[in-house]
Formats: sequence, structure tokens, C-alpha cells
Amino acid sequence: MERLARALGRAPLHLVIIAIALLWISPSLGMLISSFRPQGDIINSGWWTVFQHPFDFTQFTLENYIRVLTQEGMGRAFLNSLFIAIPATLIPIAIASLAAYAFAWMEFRGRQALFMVVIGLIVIPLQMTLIPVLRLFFRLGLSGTFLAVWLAHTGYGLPLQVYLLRNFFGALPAELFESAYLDGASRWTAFLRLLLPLSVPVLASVAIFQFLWVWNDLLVALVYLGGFERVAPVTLKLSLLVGSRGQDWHLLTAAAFVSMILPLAVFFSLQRYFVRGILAGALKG
Amino acid sequence: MAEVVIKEVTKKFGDFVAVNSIDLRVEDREFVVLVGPSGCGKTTTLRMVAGLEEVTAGEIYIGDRLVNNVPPKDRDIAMVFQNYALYPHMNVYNNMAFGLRLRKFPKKEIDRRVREAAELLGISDKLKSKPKELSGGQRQRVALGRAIVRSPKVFLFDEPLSNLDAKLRVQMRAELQKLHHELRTTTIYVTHDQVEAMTLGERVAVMKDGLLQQYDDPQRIYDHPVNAFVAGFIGSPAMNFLPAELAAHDSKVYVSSPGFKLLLPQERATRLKGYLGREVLFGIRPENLKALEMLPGCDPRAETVLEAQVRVREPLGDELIIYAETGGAELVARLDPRVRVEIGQPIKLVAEMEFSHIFDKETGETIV
Repeated sequence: MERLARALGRAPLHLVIIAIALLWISPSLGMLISSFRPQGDIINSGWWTVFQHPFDFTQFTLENYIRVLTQEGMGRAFLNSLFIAIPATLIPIAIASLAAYAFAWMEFRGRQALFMVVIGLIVIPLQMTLIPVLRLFFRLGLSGTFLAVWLAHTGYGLPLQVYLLRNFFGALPAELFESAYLDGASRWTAFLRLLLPLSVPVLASVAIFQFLWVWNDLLVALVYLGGFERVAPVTLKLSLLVGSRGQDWHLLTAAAFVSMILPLAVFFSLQRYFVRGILAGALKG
Repeated sequence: MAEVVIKEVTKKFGDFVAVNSIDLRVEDREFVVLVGPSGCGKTTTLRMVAGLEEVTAGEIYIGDRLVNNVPPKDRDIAMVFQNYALYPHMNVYNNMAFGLRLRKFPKKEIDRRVREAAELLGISDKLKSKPKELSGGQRQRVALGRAIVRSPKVFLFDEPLSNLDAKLRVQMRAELQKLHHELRTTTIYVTHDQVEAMTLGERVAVMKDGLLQQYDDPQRIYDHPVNAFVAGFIGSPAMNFLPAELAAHDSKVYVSSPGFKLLLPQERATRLKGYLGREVLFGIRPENLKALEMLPGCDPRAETVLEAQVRVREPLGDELIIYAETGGAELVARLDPRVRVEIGQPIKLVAEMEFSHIFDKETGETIV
């Protein structure tokens, strides 16, 4: 009885939340449905008309996806994106976790000053760096290579990552490390066998942030890779498609979904870490 | 097994002197307790022995080896921390085995040692549990186990019982004593709790403000404190300190104040010649004040009787603690529980002057 009363009491709140969620999701839903509809249908009727016969699967087709992936080059772009995003996530985290470990647990001259510099770098807008870095890459012959984008994303991601990881590492009890040193661990062993396993949540959340940021990035890829099809990631490819096939909604919606699918998968599969990692950073784990 | 020698060791943090040139020798197989109020430098001293803090000046030897520049892992010591410092992501077995694995012990040997230690500590059924699934007492045992399996030369304990509740603390205290009896490993134990110091230590080092005050066996420290600080720190309830004057009458020496005039035994009096007429601190432990009514043979006009007004009475069953006032000074007495006394009423107390202490008022040093 009491339960029922409480459920009823909360009903208005729940209705409002559901309504907002539906409103929020409708553009994406429309895009998803459109991407499975034949070109003719998209031109003749709105995406919501599919709900008139929700179980009539003949109104859907995979044709759009097959076409963007094979003929329009989204498949190639998808692989390019993976080839950019995975190293551009792993490299900075590897460096940042080592740097953060040093900032948190090693005494050295100028530690505080150096850390202030790292924090200062967080506020520099990356647009300011585009021209000088691009000139540097030109001189080094790196312009237009994947290595250039990896390095660029590493540089842009490091300051914030070092900062977040240092705060998390620093909140671990000092006795843990001292205990490990007495047990015979070197700094390196303590890092690998103690610090990393204990920091899985925060590492995962930092990795997710970085991966999503790199995956969704258009500017950095465009500037350092150039607009070439051969190396274009999904974001770049999609913007090229908008130019060349602006009228072909059936292809654009499918291509847009191809570009979204991986971030969605990453987010849903790792959201547990995501939430925990954010809290961990704020509340000392 | 090894002795530990701390030789004129000083530790400074910036301008702050945490440990001031202390000398301490811990014999092989001995259990030594470092005790003192917080900030007295006892933990810093322990951490220097462990190698977790650098020594500013002086030398530390473990066995015959000078270890000032030896890293912690090569000192062959094991340390138990106040908050246990168990590795949260490893189960109990791995927590204990970690140090042995890093030292490349054979697998069989590791297994044997871990199981033996677990058996000894009564945690054999918890080997697969993670630290967070254990109670405070069990975590403490794992921390002990982690130290034991290494069979180090020296055990270092940093307030290992202070995170436990009162009952468990008493139990673990007894177990630590038993454990030391079985293993006979040289041990340095830091605590701020004088009861732990008295019960566990074969010798006790009392520290204050980075200085070693007294280093002796517990009973001698209790009976013959070198100064007022040690006298007040060891013992509970603490020793009474009453400002008084030394007065001489007909070749007798009295401790006198507005509230009382007490006769000192002759042999003590002779050692006080130089202090006659001067102000001193008169120290007497609560158990050395007896209720006159429980001593039928005692003359109420004897020169060791004082009268005080009872302010608080705490019947503890086996004893009765009273807080009373005499001549503006407060004193505590530990009496027989059968003594009839009410708050606000006067009580006659007999001071056992042969157990009293006289301290220099300025320096706090013991005179007799």
C-alpha cells in the first residue's frame, strides 16, 4: 500500500523525465530510422510514418549502409578513425600515468613548478597551436602522416590527463607504497603491480574521454592530415559527404550512424567505469 | 635476528627538529617500545630505521651493518602500519606472498610460509578473501602475517593497534606478546598508549619533543622516572603533581603547602639538603594515597596524613578513584572500593612518602 502510494507520488516526476528523454532522443531516432529506409520513402514521407506498421520489416533496407561503407568510402574512413583513435588514446595515457606517478610520489627538484606549468597548459586553446605545430611537422616531414595526428592528440590530451591522474594517485595512502617498497618492490614494480591495478576506474574514464574526443575530432585531423580521402577519419569523410551528397539523406544518415556507433558502444559498455571514475577523481576513490 | 643500534640520530624537516640526537640500542630478540605524545618523534625514528625517512645526522646499524644509505627493501625488516596498508586488489594469500614473490622465493616455499603464518594467526580460512571483506582485527592479522612470512631480522610496528576497538586491542595486545615469545624477532614498537608500552615492552623508550627521556625496563620507568614528564606520562590515572616547599624542622624534612605538611623519610631527606626552603614539585601516584579509615593502626595525627575535599568519585568495582582538592591543588587517589566517601565531604588520606617523588620545579628533573 505504502509502496503504491510512493510510486504514485513519484509518477509525475517520472512522466516528465520520460518525456524529456523522448524529446531528446527523437532526432537521433529519426536519423537511425531514416538510415534504414529506401531513398524514395525518405523523400515521400516522414520517418515517424514507419510506426503505422511497426512490424512490417519490408519497409527497411540495409542498402544505404552497404553503399556508404563500400562505395562511398565510409568503411575505409572507419578503419582510419580506429587507426588514429587507438594509438592517440593509448600513447598519452601511458605517458600521463607515468608522469602523474612521478608528480604524486617522487620527490624531485622543481616538482611543484613543473606541475604548475602542466596545469597552465590546460587553459591554452588548441587553435593557438595549430600553425606553429603544423610548421614544425612540415619541417620534420611529418605533415599528413598518422604519426603527426597521434603526436598532436598526445600533446593536447596530456595536461588534463596528468592533472586528473596525479590527483587520483596522490589520494592513495602513502603507506601502500611504503609497504610495497619494504616488501622489495622497485618504483617500477610498485607502478605496475600496485598503482595501475588500483587505478583501473580512473584510467578507464580518462581513456574513454580521450577516445571519444579523438574519435569526434575533425579539426586536428583536418589540419595535420590534410583533407585527403586516403587518410580521412569518419568525421572528415562525413563532412566531405555533406559537400558531395548533400541531397542524399539516405546516405548521410547511414554514414552519420556509422560514425556514431563506436562511441555509443564504448560509452554503454564502459559507463560503469565512467561514472565511478568521475566520482573517484572527486571523492578520493 | 639482529640488534638495532641508533647512534646520535637527528632528523630535521626544514628547521623543525623532529628527532634530536637520540641514542638507542635494541638488543637481539628484544621487544622495545617507543612511547610518547604525538609529535614526539617516535614514528619518525621508526621510519628512519625502516629507511622511509633519510637520517639528517647520526648512524643506524642493523646487525653489524651501517644502513644509513641502504634502501628499505635491502634492510631485511618488515613493518606493520597503523592503517595496515594491505594491497586492496589482492586477496589475503597474495598480500602475504607479494614480498616473497618479489624476492624470488620458490613457489613451494612461499606456499609453506604463507600457510604457516595464516595458521599461526588463525586466518587460514580467509586466504581467498579481499581485505575489504575482513574485519579490523582480521586485517591487522593479515598485516602481521605479511611481516611474519618474510622472517625478517627486525619487526617494526607503527601504532598497529590504534585503529581497533578497545576490546580487540586488549586481545591483540596479548596475541602480540605471545607471538613475540614464539618468534623472538627483534622488535621496535611505536605507540602513544602507555598501557601498550608497559605491557608489551621488555624495555621502553619514552620520548618527548624529539628527545629521548628515559630508556629502561617498564617497571623501573614506573618506579624511578627521571623527570616529571616521564612520571606523568607513564601510569593511569597520572601521578599527582603538587607545588610545594621543602621545609626543615628539628632535622626533619617536610613537604609543605597551604593544604598539607608531609614528613619525608629520613633517607630521602638527606638527599634534599640543597633544596631546603625552595619550591619543588611533589609527585605521588594515586595508588600511594590510602584512605585513613582503611588503616586502623594509623594515627590520624601522623605527619603523613593530609585532608582533602572530595569533588568526584568514580567507583570502578575493583577500586574507587576519587578526585579531591587540598589547599587549591587537585589530586587523584586510587582507593579501596569499600571506602565510604561522599562528594563534597572531607577525606583523610595517608601518603606513602617512601614512594613519593620530588622534582625540580624549573627543570622537571627528578631530585629524589
